[in-house]
Amino acid sequence: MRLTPLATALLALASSASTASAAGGDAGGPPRRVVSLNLTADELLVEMLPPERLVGVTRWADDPEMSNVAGRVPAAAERLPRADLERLIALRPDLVVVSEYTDADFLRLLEKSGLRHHRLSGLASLAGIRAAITDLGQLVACPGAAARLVARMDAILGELARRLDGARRPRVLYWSDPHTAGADSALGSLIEAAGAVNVGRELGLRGIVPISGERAFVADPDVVLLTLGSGAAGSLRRHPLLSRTRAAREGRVVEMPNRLLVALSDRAADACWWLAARLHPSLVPQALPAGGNR
Amino acid sequence: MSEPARRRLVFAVLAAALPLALLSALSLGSVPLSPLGVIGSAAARAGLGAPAPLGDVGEVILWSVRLPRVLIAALVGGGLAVVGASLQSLFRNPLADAGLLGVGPGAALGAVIAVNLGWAQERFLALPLSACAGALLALLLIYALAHAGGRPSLSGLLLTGLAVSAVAAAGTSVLLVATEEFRVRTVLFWLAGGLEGRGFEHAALAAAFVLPGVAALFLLSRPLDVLSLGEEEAAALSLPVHAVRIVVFGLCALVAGPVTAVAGSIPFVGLIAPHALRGLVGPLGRHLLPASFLAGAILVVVADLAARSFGQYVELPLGSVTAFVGAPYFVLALRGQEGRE
Amino acid sequence: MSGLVEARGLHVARGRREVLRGVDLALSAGEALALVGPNAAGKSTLVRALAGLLPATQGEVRLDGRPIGSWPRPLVARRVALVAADDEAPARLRVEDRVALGRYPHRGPLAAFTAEDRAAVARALRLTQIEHLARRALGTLSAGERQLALLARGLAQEPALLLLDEPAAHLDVRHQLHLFHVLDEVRRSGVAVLAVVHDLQRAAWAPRMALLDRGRIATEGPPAQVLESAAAAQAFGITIRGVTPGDGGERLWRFEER
Repeated sequence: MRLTPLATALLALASSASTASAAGGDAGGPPRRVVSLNLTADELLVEMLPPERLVGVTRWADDPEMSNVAGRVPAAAERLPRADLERLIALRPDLVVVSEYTDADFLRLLEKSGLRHHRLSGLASLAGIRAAITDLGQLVACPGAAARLVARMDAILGELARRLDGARRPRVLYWSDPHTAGADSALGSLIEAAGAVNVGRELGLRGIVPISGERAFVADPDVVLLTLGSGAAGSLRRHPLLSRTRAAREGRVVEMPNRLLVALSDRAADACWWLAARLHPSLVPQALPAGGNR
Repeated sequence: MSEPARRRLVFAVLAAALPLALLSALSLGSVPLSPLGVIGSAAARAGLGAPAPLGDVGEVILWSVRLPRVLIAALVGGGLAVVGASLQSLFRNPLADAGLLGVGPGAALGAVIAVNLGWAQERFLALPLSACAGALLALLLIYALAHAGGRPSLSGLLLTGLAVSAVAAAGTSVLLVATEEFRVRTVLFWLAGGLEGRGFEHAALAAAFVLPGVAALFLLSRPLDVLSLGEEEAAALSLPVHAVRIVVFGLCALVAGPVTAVAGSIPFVGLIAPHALRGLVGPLGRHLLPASFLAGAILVVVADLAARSFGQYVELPLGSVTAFVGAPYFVLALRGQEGRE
Repeated sequence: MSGLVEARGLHVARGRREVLRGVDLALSAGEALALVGPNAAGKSTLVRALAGLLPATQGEVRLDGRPIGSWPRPLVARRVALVAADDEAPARLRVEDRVALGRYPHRGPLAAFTAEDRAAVARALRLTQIEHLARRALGTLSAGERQLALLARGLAQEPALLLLDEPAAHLDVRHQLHLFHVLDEVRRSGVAVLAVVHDLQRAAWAPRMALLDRGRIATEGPPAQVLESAAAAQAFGITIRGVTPGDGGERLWRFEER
């Protein structure tokens, strides 16, 4: 496309604005002012960074329903109610951590404004989470803290695998009217690590996608997994088909707290343990193993 | 007051209000900047006065974040207002506007495809370009279908537009239902209309279509006036009615499609601006179109300012702001009109 | 024979229906012709065909001796002005702007209006005697005033031929009389006028009358001759009797059902 002279002039002016003049700290050293724009990064950075280096978190970081670090977030960090680019720039961060689903156009604008960003990705699997934690630790120059988080995850998951060895794996369907979790999703990995078979994967689904009542009914899961307090339990009871599944009639419905269900940080390991304890009560106690406490 | 004098006054007011609106929108926001600082910063870029009067943070916010956004708002508002005024002449109906063209749902379909396939997360400008392509494909489809049975009448053109809109909207729904949940949010925000995260490339994309398109429509002012007299009278005055209709329709789609691709769906601007101004500057295209451009630009610049100032957890969707203003305006305007009749 | 406008063996169809079935008609500069006939005779179709707006399926229309289709459209519109009964112009449009649009065939989409254009508009407003309404919006006028504004638009085209389709419809008596005076005035400046007139008494205004019945010219000539002919009686299905009043005024006609 051809640009009018006005647009060309404006682009020229704009590119001269985009040098890193708003960034704090120099490009070479470790980031001194880090802002997190998603909850997982909130949880990881609260654990990894010395408090004065975390200058911005999301508004959910303090919410005990959503966040695994509620109550432990540094008071001085600004709570950003939304991804407001202007306030973000005013914080003068030298690193902004964003989620996988942030769109490319927004990231480009971050760059143009001189803000370095890091995208957390690969969080759909436990291996991916470990890698993401290690990478983030490198990036913020806190490899030791990252390694501790990974070691903790490994301890919990290792103990879990030992206890679940040889156990019969129930078939679990995650349901969040009308979505379920297929392969390549964090929820799917959670279910599998907790010693169960993910019905979503069996059905050939990928990611968080809708599932029809009929299909879910015909799949006949052993256990239905729901988010606690989301109203899904009520929807299940009122659903003309799903209320008639074996699992619903026999009361094999597990309602999991949201902050664990959506945990994509090292707390994903805690979530796996929690779920495994409900699915295999004789094999897995509710309390975390010794090496897993903070 | 005589009509020419009133017209001059209206243009003077609009011409003064636009820079004022721009300056306000550039100064106000989550991080307030002083208007004098904004002017000083512009002067500094032009080589006059001390450099970077707003400080590092202020300079970046002004030039990288706010300026492109405000420019897009002006282009979107001006473009949609001129499209509305032109379509109202074309269809001889004061309620015609860009929604009739069928390009909005085409753009939405393009956007959903880009999000569904993950391009929107991975590639810069993928979403607006895909939406733009969707809009232009919709236009071509409407043109081809409308002409399938020979030259279309005005209602034929309109009905084809509505049919293509309906199919595109249906396609969008089908895709949305099958799209990964987290990606759906991206689409929903786009559909609701807004300028968050838009940079200079988006502004250039919008300008590339809006500025030439609007200029061409300005040049068609007199043919539009003749067309507004009715098909037969226009033909008797030697206007090539069918050709003018197709060209105007096409130009309107070429402006509205990319505007929707960059800013999402922004209703009512094409209705309010011409409606309000027709009584003040008269229905002749050479006055109404430029006046509508100015008024539309002011309206959307102010609406965008409101959208980013009044939302706490999320920016208010720009389309909702224009609807909140537009709908009551119409109710009042209609009541006033009926009172007079 | 080459007059200003001429129809030769003209056949015109609307959709599948043939409306004009061989019409021969000619008009020269300064002439006036009233076109009468029963409903659905094809009068509106004939007028539009003479304006070049409808194609001939057979035969032709000639303008200044050449087939009308061979002229570029703007040239036709500079020679021929069509004034129809229905006016769809926007209510907010001012009279002088509406009349000025009649200059479109001369100026096209972009050229600025010249003194010549302004003079033509002023003349048109003066002829129709609506100068005092120039600044008013069309929506504020009465039906008669709107019709005069429409006529003024036609006059602003400075045509050689003025075609009118039922110009007296919607007009009260005073405006009707005024209209025909304007048409006489226009004729005096050399413009040919062809008017479709519904009211047969009014139609006698023109020295020549043509009766169109079922797509053909049934008879043509001075009004008395046409109205009192057997063809007229047959076309309208009534008896028409002519009477010259005792005071020597215009001939009047009585219409009676058979």
